[in-house]
Amino acid sequence: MSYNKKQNISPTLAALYSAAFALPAYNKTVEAAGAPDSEPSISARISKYDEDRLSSSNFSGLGDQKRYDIEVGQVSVVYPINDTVQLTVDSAYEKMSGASPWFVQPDAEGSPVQVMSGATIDDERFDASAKLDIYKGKYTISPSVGFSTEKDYQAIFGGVSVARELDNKSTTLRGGISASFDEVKPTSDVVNDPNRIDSDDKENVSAFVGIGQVINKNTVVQSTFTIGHLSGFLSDPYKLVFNSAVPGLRDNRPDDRTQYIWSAQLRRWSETLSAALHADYRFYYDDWNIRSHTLDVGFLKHTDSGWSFEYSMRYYSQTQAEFYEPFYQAARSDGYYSSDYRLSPYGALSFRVKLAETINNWTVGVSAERYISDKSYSLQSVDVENPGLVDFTLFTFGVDYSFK
Amino acid sequence: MSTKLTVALILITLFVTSGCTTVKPWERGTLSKKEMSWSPDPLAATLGEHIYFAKEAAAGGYGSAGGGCGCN
Repeated sequence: MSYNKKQNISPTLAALYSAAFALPAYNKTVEAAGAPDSEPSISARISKYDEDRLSSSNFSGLGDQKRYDIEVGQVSVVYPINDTVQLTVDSAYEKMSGASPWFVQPDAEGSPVQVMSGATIDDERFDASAKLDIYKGKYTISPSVGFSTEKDYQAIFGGVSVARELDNKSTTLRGGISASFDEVKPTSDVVNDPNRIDSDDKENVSAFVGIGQVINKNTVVQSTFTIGHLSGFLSDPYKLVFNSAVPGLRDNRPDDRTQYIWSAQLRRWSETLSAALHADYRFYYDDWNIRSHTLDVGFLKHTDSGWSFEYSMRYYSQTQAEFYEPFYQAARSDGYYSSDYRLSPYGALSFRVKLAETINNWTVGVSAERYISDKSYSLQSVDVENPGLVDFTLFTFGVDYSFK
Repeated sequence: MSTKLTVALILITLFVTSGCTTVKPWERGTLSKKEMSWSPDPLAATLGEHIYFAKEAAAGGYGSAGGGCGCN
């Protein structure tokens, strides 16, 4: 159909197109989908996550340079219960091994070097969640619950979101709340440390509002504002800090953290390339004084023969937490200390490719991602890079099946 | 957030929405393509967000909910 002929569409044909738009496949681009899928589907992924070995120039010589390797299995089932309710159940299993950054100390020249855990960490994690999408006219109500369990950590979480369609589905308003209740129970597998906590709790509550807008026949945008609050034990129970003035200090962070996040997403169809262009931006700020910018852009193309190709790039930059130092030379008046590389200033680049083919009800795909972090990628000048910054590679094999 | 940022966000929103045109349901064939969805591969997105959550200070912001883990 030529788009410039729309003025001449008959009422009957318009009604047919309207009916077609009400089909599930037509609604998957809009957050408030309007109806469940027409048939159940199941998806499975197997992934291999490998962190690069800690470089010798950043290594203190203490511990093991071999960092985390994680094998991940994921299964997702989408089941339309009836004409107005759809159930989605997701589960994931992870098996991880490797050494973890323990603390940072100065070398003979005063440069920071990483001390790693001395023993191999072996752990497993299992999580599962269930979500209902309940379609009530122009509203979609989506309650969800889930849990995550591993040897030293338990979490239960849940939430509910509501989407409301306006202006003949050109605009979608969304809002939601969620909460997670977590328990930390450190093990002695890494280092037997009698001063470590036995167990503690933390909570995370968040709320978001958003709007999605169809701009034209080829462009749709979405924007979301989220506010989150974490409270309780927010430190890393396994990490220490080096302080030449006060020996024996542990990683100790404030027990409250408020986060403000704004995101904007764009999907645009290129007639020239016959492909979709994706752009996602996120600004993050929290009251530990961390600011970050994330930009994710992608190119997705599906061919008539069933092949699909995706290429995407992600850029990330963050400033440091106000109490972070690679190592300390004096006591802090507030008593907060952390040398965790995740609270340090840096930037990161990642590159992803995915290739998949759909034959009848089956889709089989492979994907790869390479992630590199470095102080030179930061938007702001960084004087001293944390030696524990991580680079990793992720490979995934996936299968989807639709019960058509 | 700073006043400058708030003003910038409002201006961006006004700029984007000012370009809106009415798109009839029968004109949305392109928008309905799978590759145009917000999350074409939800499982890949879930794993990716989980990894970034474990390795970076910032997380969330796209409206989805989840629990914590010992990885962070």
